Amino acid sequence: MIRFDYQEPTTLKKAFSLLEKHGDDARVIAGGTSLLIMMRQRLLMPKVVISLTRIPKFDRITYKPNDGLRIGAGACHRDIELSPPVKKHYPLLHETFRKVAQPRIRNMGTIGGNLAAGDPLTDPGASLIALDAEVTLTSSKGQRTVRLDEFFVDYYQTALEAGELLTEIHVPPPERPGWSHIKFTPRSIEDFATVGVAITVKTSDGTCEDIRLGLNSVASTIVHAKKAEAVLRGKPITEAALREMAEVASTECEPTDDNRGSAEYKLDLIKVLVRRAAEEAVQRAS
Amino acid sequence: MKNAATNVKQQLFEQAAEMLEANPQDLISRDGKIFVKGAEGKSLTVSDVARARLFRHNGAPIVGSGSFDADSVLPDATRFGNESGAYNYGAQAAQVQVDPETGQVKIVQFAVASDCGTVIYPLGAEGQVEGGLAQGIGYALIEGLQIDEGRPINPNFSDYRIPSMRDMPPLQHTFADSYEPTGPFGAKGLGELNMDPTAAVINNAIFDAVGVRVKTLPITPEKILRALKEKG
Amino acid sequence: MKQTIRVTVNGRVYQEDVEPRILLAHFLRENIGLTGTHIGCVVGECGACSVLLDSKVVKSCLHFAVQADGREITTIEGLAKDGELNPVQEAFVKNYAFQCGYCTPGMVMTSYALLQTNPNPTEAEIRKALAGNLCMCTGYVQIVDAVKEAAKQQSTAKV
Repeated sequence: MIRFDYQEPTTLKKAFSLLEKHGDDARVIAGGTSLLIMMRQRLLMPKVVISLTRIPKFDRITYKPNDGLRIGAGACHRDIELSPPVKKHYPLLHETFRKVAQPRIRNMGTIGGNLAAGDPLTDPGASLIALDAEVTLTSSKGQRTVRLDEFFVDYYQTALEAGELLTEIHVPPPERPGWSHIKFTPRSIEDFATVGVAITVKTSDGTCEDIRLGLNSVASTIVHAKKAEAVLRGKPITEAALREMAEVASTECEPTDDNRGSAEYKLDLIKVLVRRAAEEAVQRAS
Repeated sequence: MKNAATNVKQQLFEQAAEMLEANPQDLISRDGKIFVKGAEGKSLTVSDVARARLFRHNGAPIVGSGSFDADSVLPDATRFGNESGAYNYGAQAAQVQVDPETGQVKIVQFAVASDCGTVIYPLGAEGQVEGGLAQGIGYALIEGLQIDEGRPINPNFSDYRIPSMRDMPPLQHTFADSYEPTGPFGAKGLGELNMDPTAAVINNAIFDAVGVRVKTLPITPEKILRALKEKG
Repeated sequence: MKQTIRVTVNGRVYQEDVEPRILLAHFLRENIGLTGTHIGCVVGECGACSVLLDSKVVKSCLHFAVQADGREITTIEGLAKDGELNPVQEAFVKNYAFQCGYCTPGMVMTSYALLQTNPNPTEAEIRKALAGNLCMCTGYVQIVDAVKEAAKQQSTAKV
């Protein structure tokens, strides 16, 4: 393991001044589950590691019916999984966070750390996109809000700028009652997803009023499949329409070969799993 | 093992006989104690005897050793011979579900029958069966050590997966009622038996379900899907 | 540059100077001398290094020791009390729930933590909670049996 200095600021203000002081030499740590592995593999070699765990209220989860869910970036996956308002109002999130890694990782890893790492293989991002989530990015100069589907830029690259921290995730009040989440793991159940699909849908009289579709592990970022959504939005829900939507979704993805499957196999899976997720979501919507 | 254990017992009884002023042939041991037959009131614990053997002039820890060479004939160039004194046998059966759109395999249940002669320690033997099966399912469906010019390129548990508790199917197993005359107390080996047939059993079950066979391990859903497509 | 940390391990407070890069697993084994916590894969997959950190189960190979400053840790050595094995440990012994023993400390710690929050788990809940503890010897059946028995023992003890 490389040598580094470890700092534990007790306020966001102190964290920002440390970030400004050390610039590219610094990395922040919350749970540390992914940073530690990247440091061990020397993919990241910060000289200073700044812990955010002593910052008060950084892990709060609050819910208001007219505002929705606000999750502090320091909340760990397990807390979100077990949160009563999440279970009650956002069953898609409850289901998703149940499936993230295993309990030991969910006890340590934080949602802020997960999203800020920009890892396209992980589960929360697709479901949060399907719920129109946005993230608050804070720096010493102020705050800005970015839609989550615009936050992921490339492999392990996000819209975070130097000196910025992801401080909050906002999930608006749920508008689409139908939902489905599929995490396809052909080897061990404990693996990363080979393909992950999250859908929310609102229907009326057999027509799709609105829909959101997110996918992970299928491109260099988590995908918001807008073209696929457009195939179904406002149209009658038929088997043919769902198949077409799934076909179009596969064209919005660019999977690669890896030890979980070839790109060709993943494209086949996208067509099958998007269709199945849509079928399940539509059933839940009615 | 049996010979080594017998050796240990002999050393213990020699020491205990000295301490009890008795003849080693008159001693028996039960529940961790050694005593003269019929005089259970005056007993020594096995650990006391072992300590006494060590902490004395010319003392030494009690270490038993034994060896056993079965009647065997090394294989010749034709690879026929008789390498071992005894052979163990087993049978496995699997019930699987195959998803024809994704190729994913779910093992619904698994049954194993093993012939290891006398089962000396049932819990231990069951553990061997269950562990062997986990290894078998692992290499049949999940693992896959990738080697490039002699070097493993996925030597970590993130890329090289082994079965977790949730990957294991419901399992039923039984032991054949048999006795191996050349083995200690009629026992034979058991350890590796249940790893051997597993991949073949699963592959056969998949063939029964969807009519395709995979020819390389691990049997992945992708290979099954590709085989299904080629079959048309 | 070394930092001073104060951690409570199995009820005892330790103050040590450590480099930030030292993993919690190495700290427990080498600085404190508690080698019951095993390091299997070092990438957080096998669970052999599981310990309790403020009563939550975590993988100590994915933690720096400095992150544990001011916190309470329970390792496998902290489960037995006054020479008596904890019911989970007893159940593991009785059910032959370990063979080589390498995964065992992690299995026991995770099982113990599970029963603290879910005293009567179903088999599915046990398997889910222990899914991050890998074992190559046992095939897991006797481990599940041990956890079920420990749950039963603990509930009869309370009555």
